[in-house]
Amino acid sequence: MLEINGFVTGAYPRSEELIKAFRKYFKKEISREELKKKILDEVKEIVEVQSTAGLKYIVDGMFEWHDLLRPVAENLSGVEINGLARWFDNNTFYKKPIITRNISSKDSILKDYIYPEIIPPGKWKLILPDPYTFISLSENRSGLKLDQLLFRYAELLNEELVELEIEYGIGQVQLSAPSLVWSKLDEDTLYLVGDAVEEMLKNVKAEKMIHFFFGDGLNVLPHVLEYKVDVLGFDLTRTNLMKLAEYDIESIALGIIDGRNSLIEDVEVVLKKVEKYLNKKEPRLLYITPSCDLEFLTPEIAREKTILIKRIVNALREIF
Amino acid sequence: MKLFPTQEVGSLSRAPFLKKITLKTIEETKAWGEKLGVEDLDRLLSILEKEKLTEEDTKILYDYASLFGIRFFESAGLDVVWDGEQKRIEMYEHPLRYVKGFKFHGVVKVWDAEFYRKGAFIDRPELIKPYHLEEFLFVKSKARREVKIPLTGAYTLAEWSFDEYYIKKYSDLDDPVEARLRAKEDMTIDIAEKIIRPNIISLVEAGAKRIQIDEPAVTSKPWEVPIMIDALNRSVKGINAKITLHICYSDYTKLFPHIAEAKIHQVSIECANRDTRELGVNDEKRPGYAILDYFREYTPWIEVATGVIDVHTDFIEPPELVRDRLLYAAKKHGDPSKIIACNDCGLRTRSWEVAYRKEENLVRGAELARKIMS
Repeated sequence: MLEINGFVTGAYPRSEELIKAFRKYFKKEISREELKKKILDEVKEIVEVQSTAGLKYIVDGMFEWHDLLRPVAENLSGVEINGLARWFDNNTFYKKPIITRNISSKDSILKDYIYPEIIPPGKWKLILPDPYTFISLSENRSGLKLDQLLFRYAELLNEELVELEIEYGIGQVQLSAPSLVWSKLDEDTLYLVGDAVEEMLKNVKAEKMIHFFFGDGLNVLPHVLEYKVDVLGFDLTRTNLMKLAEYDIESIALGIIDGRNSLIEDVEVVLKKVEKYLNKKEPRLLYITPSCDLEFLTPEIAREKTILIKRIVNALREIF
Repeated sequence: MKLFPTQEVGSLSRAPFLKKITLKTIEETKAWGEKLGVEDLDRLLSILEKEKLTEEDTKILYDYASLFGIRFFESAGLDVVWDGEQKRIEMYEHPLRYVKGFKFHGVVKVWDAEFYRKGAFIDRPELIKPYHLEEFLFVKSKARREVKIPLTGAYTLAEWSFDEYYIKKYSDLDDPVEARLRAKEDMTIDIAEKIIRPNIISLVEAGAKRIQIDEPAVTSKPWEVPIMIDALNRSVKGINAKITLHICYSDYTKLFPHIAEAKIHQVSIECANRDTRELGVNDEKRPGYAILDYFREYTPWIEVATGVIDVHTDFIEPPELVRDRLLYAAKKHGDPSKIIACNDCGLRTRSWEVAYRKEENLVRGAELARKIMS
């Protein structure tokens, strides 16, 4: 029996008010407490939006995260933050981590960036960069090799995940893996990353997902079918769904809602595409998701797209 | 012909009196006005002393800001000038305020707490009115040097916008990449033909002889470079003016070989930002200019306005450093007559004090380079 659900796959956009609050905080015009109060208001609102949309897992909005890599980069010894670099093909930039020596953990990596207590028990979705994405987007001045860094990162983040799971309970862990599909990697690297992903997620009881976005998911197939994860997620603005149907994927997240364009997708058009896929394949678990983070949109449109997930999921459930 | 002519790229931070008017800004205005030789300065100062400004006063202030910008570059000694974009908001929102078929949605993050106001094309665009004409006519009436007017290119306006119209046409395609590529091509060409080209025609009819098209977004999707080139060519087809293409903070290798198809006379690029500050005319000291190999190889007929001034630092490039950068660029390119002395980009992020000293040294450095070449 096919199970159909939905969730988002990344950060929500900050409101104009919150962006201005961050500016004031940087200029020391408001305190951390004042900033945190505003963040908390937005967390509560976005958790409510996702709950109303009936999403299976719920993110806290990731409003504290300036970019996907920053919380990790700021809290690992042996990593410094450098200048701006383009975030893939977006008009958005991240601060490049510089790995200066072997990395180690300072303390809790994520505690100042997450708000799991606002989310209903068992539904919290935690998102982290996969080992390859973090290491490949950093500048390596440590003299260590790729495999050494991948596994060191995986070990440190695994400790963090296990601790967070004990403390808060996690519904789903998503590894965001744009670098794995941005260009086609060689087989050896893909297998190496698979081992690092396994290391990063070992002893984690939550549902484990890896999401490939900003690139063609076919770049990592069939190799990722062997990754020790429960769900594979794809960006269908970059991946041909019918070509994806050539692979047997038991639990799949279809990133069919464009996270980088404001057009609200026509439900009928989406249904037609998904139906075409389901006529060829019968996964056990199907998730409807945005293609990537919704932070590239305005808050209003991001909320609309969240509700759209519910409309698509409901329509699909009626058909299947 | 003069070797290493000097030119700017576009923006300058706001004139002192466009910020909050205080005694300090009035003093700054007076000092800059006298230094730059701005005419009718007393009239401006009397407006600044008013308790409340009328709408007409505000308009006059913007005209003065434009005049200050022109005199700023002229006084520093540049050969080709603009007014520092004193009358513009910025390069994206300003043009799109004059476009029908476009709707602003709200702010989106660029990084950390930096954002811009982004919108969507919801229909085929139509130009409400040429949005740079009045600005150009004013500059033309005041400038004592040659004028180059910058405007944002079609590709960048498309790339920085959402698409709620064109993509619908391709929703039946199975290949999402092809669907997006075709939609982007349609959108960019419409913007080129319906927005950019009419603007350029109106400017040229009004006497513009140099047009700079800014396309900072082009290499973010390298596979779309041909779309930018096609749109650029449609924007300037049959136009009798010197066309400069300005692209900054990009991987310039992605432009090749396509840029050879571009109907342009000059390309303006940022190099100083990726260079060392040491003197010298060898590869080790001048890594910022390595890309000139490509221009020599693929497009030797195109002038290269090489950035010899880094606009993202308060470091004042000594004239000798400017000299060495130009001499090296000339050597690398192989044809010194194709090298223009330029800033990396607009000077918007620098104070007027810093920007002015940088521009003075741009001019001095070019003179030093010229002497050696002669």
